[in-house]
Amino acid sequence: MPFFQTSGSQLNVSRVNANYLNPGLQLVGFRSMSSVTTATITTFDTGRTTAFSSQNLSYRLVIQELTCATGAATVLLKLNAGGVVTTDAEYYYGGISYSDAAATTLRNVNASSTGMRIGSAALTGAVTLCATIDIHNPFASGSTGFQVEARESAGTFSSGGIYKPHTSLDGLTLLNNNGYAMTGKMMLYAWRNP
Amino acid sequence: MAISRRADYATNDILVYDELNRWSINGSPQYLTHTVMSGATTQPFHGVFNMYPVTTYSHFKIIINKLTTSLDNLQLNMKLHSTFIPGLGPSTYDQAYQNVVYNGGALSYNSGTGLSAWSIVRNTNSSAASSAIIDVFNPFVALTVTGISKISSDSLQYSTSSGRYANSNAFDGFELSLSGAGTMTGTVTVYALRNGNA
Repeated sequence: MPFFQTSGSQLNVSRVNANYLNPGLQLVGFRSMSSVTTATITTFDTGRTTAFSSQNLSYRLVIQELTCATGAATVLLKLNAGGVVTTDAEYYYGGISYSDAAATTLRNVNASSTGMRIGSAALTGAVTLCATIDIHNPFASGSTGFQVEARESAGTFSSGGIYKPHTSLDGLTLLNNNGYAMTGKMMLYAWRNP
Repeated sequence: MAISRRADYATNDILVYDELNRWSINGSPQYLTHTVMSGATTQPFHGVFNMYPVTTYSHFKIIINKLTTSLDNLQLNMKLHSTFIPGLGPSTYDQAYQNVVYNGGALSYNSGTGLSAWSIVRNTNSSAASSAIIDVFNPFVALTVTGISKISSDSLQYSTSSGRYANSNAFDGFELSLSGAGTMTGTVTVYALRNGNA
């Protein structure tokens, strides 16, 4: 339980550490995008130099109002190892997508993709996207798990999967697989663990 | 100067209770507990939903990382628990889930009512890990308890599930167990999300 002081009382370091530094989600980095074809996290919280580290097991990436140039656009999220984006086809995922205008629910699966799909294959045209992506164990040994919830211009996309290689990953790259420029913002939070 | 974020203060500045209270206690989610399971048959999390006043926190997130089991194809079950009334736990769980296999298999789904537990991971693996994120709403208030889970598995499938427990009792924690004779290993971290009216 938190130690509740009275208004105006001063707090020392031990009280602060014990009772107040328990935020479950901490913003660790962000990136504003303006007509770019790829984007990584470039601004980090104090004391961090990479998106993923041994400090945390799980992370949440929030993508806000991402727009892509007109055209059939697939947004992919790739993970980085040693600061370099992965190029292998070791992303496995399954999910569903459904459009506001259609009664059909589509199944999206891939057993060998070059990135985590963030948008739906069913939607074409200019894409406006908001999404939350939870990423588990990227830095530790073992595969990396992820869950995606996305709202596009005219539909919903929900999926989950893994990046299979037991590689230590220290960052991420967002890109449009058709090479169209992207504008928007992404924030990376770390889920706290001891 | 009012402190609204970390960059507003300098080293050796003295912080008073009011300033920290505004932006730290209002912070959400609050980290509650972290448990490492190693060869556990049942793992209790008693009292975790009652660590803070229920008027402040009634929505919780649970993250399960690197879950493996001693046997394949066991279900990971979640049951609500009440410290105040031992042995009390709803015997009626309703749930629905859908399962998507990465390698092109059909979308499967199922549902059930009157179940003895909420199955949150349907196919565990002895060598391939699962990671899950679970929302639990209103466990410690006299309302229907709702749970929503999303799981990614190295066994090449993604599942979402929702469960419902219609009861008027207050449950202050939960327990994880397996559907069969086996043990589980992994980490479980619990967070609380702040209510808007507190």
